[in-house]
Amino acid sequence: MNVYRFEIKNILWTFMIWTIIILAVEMIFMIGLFPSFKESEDAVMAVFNNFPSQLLKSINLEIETFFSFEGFYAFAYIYVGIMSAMMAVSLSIRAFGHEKKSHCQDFLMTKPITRAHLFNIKIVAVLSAIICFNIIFVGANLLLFMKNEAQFGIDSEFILLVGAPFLTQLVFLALGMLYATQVKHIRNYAGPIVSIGLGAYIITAVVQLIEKEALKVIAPFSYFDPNRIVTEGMYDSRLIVAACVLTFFCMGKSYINYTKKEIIEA
Amino acid sequence: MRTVIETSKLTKSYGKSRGIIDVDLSVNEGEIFGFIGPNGAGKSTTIRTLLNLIHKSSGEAHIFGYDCEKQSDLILQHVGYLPSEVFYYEKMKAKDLLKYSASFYKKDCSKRIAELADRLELNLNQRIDAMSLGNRKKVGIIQGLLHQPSLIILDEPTSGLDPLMQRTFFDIIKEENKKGATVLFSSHILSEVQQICDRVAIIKEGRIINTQKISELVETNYKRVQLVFRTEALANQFMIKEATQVEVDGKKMNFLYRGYVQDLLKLIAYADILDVNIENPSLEEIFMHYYTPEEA
Repeated sequence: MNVYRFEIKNILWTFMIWTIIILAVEMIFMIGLFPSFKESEDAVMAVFNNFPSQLLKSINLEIETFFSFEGFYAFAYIYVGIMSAMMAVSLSIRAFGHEKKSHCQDFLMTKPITRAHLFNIKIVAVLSAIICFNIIFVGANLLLFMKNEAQFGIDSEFILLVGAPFLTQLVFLALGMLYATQVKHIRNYAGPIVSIGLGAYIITAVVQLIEKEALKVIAPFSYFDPNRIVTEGMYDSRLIVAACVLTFFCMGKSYINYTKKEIIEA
Repeated sequence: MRTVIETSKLTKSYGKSRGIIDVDLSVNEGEIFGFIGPNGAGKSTTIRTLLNLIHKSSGEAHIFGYDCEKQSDLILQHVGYLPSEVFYYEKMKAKDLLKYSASFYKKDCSKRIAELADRLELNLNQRIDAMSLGNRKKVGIIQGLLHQPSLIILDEPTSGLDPLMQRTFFDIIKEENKKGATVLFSSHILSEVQQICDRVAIIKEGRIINTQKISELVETNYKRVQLVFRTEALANQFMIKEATQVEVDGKKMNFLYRGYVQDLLKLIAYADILDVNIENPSLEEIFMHYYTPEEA
């Protein structure tokens, strides 16, 4: 329990900052921008029609559903999704790389607790933060959906739609863990967080641009695509398998790294 | 007497690089055991293997009869460790770090923390990243001793401590030892090992080359001597049977002397010399002598 409390304290500030930022962005999109876009539908459509369709796809913009509340939500998801992913990477690197960055692995690893136990506690702490974030996120979205003319009630489609950030976060939590346990040194947190988040976004944008379905398995932001929920009411099972494989591989490798890796110098 | 640390042919290699080779150590309960050697000799590698921070390549290592790899969590309940370089969480106050450290042990350590902080004159409210090296070392000492461990492992513990604080630190270690704690004291400074240890193991290039009582080591009195004679001929003729590693360069003569200094001074007094320089040899020079005293 002492380690859990310590880890929660360690990631609390990051959790709070990211939660506020993500909710603020969500509100700006859904309360600020959406009504304006809807009011100017014809003018916006005229602008979009001048854009190449590949460009619109690369930014996750589906013209057919864009002016519906759910469609706009799916468009906004790419930004909320990136930030949620970066939040998950940030939390897991801070939890699993804290000692490495502070050069104090000797301190923790010479305490009477197994590395496997430490690993488990750290993962539970990060999961706790992510679950708390998603409870707040789903609650806020529930209010948003109820206030607007959304066609969905609290049904499976709503759950899939607002659950996308959570599932995406699980994938990125695992990627962050792998980074933190794999590298020799962690000099700062910002570099890897931005690199992993934006790197995954660029891969996803490129894959959407070239329209190769098979390549979506390497595009993490495609795994739980809200546009697909809006249009088809379900995730792509092939991509769910890809997400599971990536997540379990990263977690398994991280576990091996954390429990077996030698701590040669402080 | 119970053996607290026991290694048998303990070997650790880093790929093709040497770590330690066939290290046999036996540290008895209640003794202060010195572990000396130059930088890179394998002291820290041995300690880190014992603490399961790195994994042995072969051999056996046991502490309190437990396997150092498989049962490290049982061992670490009773071990206090002070690493050579002390790093702790950034932006954390000393008192918070020590409280966190204490939370791993099933006892109330608050009184002991306050007592040690008082003796070491450490401000517990200061942030660790704002502390000097010496003060960080003091935090390290407290976190290593706060749970009153049965085995204290010190890896070059005095770096950064001023002489007065070193004395306080040695006093604390001696007190812990009197209470029953066993101490493994690693250092490359011969004088501090001589000051505190009962027995000593000398490690060089990854191998233990000698293990002996500190009293025997102290009796072994080495001096590095340089003499400058009036002429080259005098330098070539001068002989001392206790001298080893003799080098003559023109009028200058260098050698390692083992014996009573008074006898050396008597010999020098009768020689026709212009200058004399007598100093303590480096540990490395003593190691060389330990290795090949007869062959040299």
